[in-house]
Amino acid sequence: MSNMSNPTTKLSIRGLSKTYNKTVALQPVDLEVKTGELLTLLGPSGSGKTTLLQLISGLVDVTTGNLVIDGVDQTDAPVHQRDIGVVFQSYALFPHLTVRENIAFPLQMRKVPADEIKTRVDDALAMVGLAHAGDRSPRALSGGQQQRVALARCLVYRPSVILMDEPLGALDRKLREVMQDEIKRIHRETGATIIFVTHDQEEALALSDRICLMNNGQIEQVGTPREMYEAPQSVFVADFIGVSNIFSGTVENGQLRTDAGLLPLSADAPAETCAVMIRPEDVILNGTASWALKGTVVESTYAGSETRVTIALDGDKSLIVRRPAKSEDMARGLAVTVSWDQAHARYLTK
Amino acid sequence: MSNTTSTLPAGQATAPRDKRRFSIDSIALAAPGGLFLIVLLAIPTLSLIGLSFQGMDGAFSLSIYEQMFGAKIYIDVLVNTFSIAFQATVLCLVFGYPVAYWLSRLENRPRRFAMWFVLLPFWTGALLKNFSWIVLLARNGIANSVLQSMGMEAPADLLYQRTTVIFAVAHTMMPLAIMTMLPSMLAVDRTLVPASRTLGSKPMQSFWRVFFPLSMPGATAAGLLVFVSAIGFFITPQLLGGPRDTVIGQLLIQQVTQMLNWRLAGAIATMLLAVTLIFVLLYDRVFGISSVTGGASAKLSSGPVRDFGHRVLNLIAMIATAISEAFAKVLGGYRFGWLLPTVAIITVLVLLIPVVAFIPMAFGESSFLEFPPRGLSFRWMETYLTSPVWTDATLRSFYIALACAVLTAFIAGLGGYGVARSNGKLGSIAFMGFMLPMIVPNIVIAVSLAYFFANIGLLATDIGIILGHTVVSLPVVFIIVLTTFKAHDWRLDQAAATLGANRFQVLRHITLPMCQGGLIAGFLFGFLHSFDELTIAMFVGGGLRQTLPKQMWDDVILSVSPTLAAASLVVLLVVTVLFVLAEVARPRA
Repeated sequence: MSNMSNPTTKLSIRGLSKTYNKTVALQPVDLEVKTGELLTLLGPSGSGKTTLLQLISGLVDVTTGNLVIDGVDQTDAPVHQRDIGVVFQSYALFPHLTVRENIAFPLQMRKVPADEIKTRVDDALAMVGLAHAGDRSPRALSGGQQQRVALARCLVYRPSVILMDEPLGALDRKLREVMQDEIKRIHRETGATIIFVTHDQEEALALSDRICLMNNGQIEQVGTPREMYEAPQSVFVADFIGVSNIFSGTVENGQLRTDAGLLPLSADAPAETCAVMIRPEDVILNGTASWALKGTVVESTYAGSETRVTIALDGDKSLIVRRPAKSEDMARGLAVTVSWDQAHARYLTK
Repeated sequence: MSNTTSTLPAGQATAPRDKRRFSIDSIALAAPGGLFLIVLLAIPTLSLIGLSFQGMDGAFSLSIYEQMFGAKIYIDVLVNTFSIAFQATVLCLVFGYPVAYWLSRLENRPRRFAMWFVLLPFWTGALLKNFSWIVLLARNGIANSVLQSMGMEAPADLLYQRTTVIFAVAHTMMPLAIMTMLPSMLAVDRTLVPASRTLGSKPMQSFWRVFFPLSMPGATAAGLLVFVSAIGFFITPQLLGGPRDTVIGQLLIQQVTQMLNWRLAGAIATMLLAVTLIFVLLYDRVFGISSVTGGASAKLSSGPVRDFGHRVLNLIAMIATAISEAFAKVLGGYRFGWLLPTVAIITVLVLLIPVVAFIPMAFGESSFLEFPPRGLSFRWMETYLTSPVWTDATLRSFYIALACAVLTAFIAGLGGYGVARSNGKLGSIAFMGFMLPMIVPNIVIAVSLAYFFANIGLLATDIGIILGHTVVSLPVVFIIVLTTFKAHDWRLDQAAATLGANRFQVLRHITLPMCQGGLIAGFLFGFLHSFDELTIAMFVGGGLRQTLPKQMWDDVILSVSPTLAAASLVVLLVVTVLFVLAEVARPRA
């Protein structure tokens, strides 16, 4: 399939990789970003997500592969010709310019006429709710306000792709959630294509149209938040996204031998299954299934909307169960059985 | 803890008292320094200024100023001084900026390595470098041989030319300019230039519209410091200039050491000081004095000055971009990446030439200084080591430097601790106070002290020189100690206190061990400062108490003998060893 002919592909990456001296920061990866989508690059630190972002922005030279934006090969294009916008983690606002001058900067670089600059800067300021702060120094603003200025400076010249490098990392939790909504709103209103780097899986789930999960300089899986949560394709994905109970073992006569005992496998489980994953909300305590594991309660944590129960199983294995908040307390040391509906179990092959 | 607190019943009554006492305690540590500077800087300078406004009979009179501004010779000297200082400052900025910019862009390790080659000529002092130029630029010297081999017919007169004087003054001051510019360049957020590139600016626009304005505080501070040092500077004009290049400093030396005309000396010093203050105030108006030390404010200046600055920069950015883009088009990309390192490295090499040239000269065979030297011999080393004049001067310099280092470290240590621990107004006043000897031209300090000491019988004594050296080395040592204490994590001291350590124990087991690198560096830099100091030694020593630099100065005025090279080698060795030790000891931020 050719990307060039596909009108909905904004950005296409083929075999892109980066090696510093002898350290591989990014293995060759392929990725397609659709027009108008918000894609997050998610992964632990050192997973290569920031490297990938820097390669797209052109701030770092590519080792192998190529990068196509809107059907044009941009692999070796200089940064200032790429028509991308970057929101930096540190905001990178110019301290010697006012808020207004910061936002006008990209338009001046593009030789936009002065009166048009004025209206567009006004619009951008209004969009992020900072119309009153145009003449102030960026240093006089709070972290959240600086974040908005950085966003406005990027939106004002309508780049075809916006790259955000952990832009909310420096904000506290409350403000982070407000800004997430803000980014979603702006994304909706502008229809911009956004690539968003984060190490916070909750943020990725909340924001993205699709998530690209990275690990060790490789892409583990790309999918919608729902696909990532409900149908992880590897132990890493299952473990990284959401809370999960993972039992690894070997297949034996249609069952999986694990440290915690033999677990049933459904008929459609792949032969090379190496682990079973079950989400805490899908675990049934003291159920009536034909099989069950025996365990004892070691911890029960009340968290308002739910209660989290940790259960010790055989073989030093423990399991987390989520129960509705109104269900009865479970005392430490209480003996229980755990089981689950085969339909809720995920079979992982790597 | 004092007895009063333990004998009082525990309770609310004691708490506020304790707190107040604590805050007074820490800034009070700057008091010895304050007292020292009042007695040895403020009072001498003010009394010399006062003297210049008195007539022969002691009544108020402007006669000395009338005399000064009435004589053409004095006006000529003034014009010389300012013109040399101004041109040297411009040279320092134009060539120092690329070096500092280049250094700021290096990774940490190579930068530290490269900085040695800037700091070494900084600490070798002005004397050595200018002696070296005399030999290198002489009529039959190496510079002329090179010029002749390149096709020049007759040897050029390189010495005793205005151009040479300006070059050598700039050469002497360049390390100071570079070291002042570098911190503000390093403080520029490293993501800003890449950010501007992603916003669509071409490389030249990024530099002129983002990096350059952000590096301005350091560059202007460098301009200020270089200019202020250059107007009181006399070593280069005396050694490399002709009679037409006479500057204020030389006039002062003449008036004080030969004519003993204190009133005229006072008037000259007053004028030097006034000009300096005008420049400092102007600088403060435009940039804020705190930017000298790299402080940044959240407030943007506004008004016509800022608009004008931005307009000029935008114009420069436009022209530079047009040129660089035109080249990029012809050459198919930006091909001038080598230009900056090349210019910077050549500049640094030029800084090093006169320092390194001394080493072989000390071992030459002939009976006059020449480069490259002919033959190898230790006779001049021997002459140096067996001549009581030279050995006496060397030993005196050593113990004066040692005493000065101890005294400076003590005063600056207490002051640095006090200022670092206080956030109040008193703290910033104390800070300005400690920096004063850097702003007042050294030669003014020297003349004022000479006058003051002459009145109290300390002229031509070692103690006088020690005190004078302490005054001038205070700012550098204070800054080193202060940054050390500011970088210290004081929560560690609080942690130690909660673990049961009293204040003395905290100081002994936590604060001092953690800050010792900076304190040792401060001590060594105090020593260095005194060891190659000439101005104070010249005025306060009164020609009787010869330090090594003063002995070298006298020798070079009378006859440039190879013994001088041998002595210089000793200075170079001592300076290099101490400077390496100090740099190693100094903690890195």
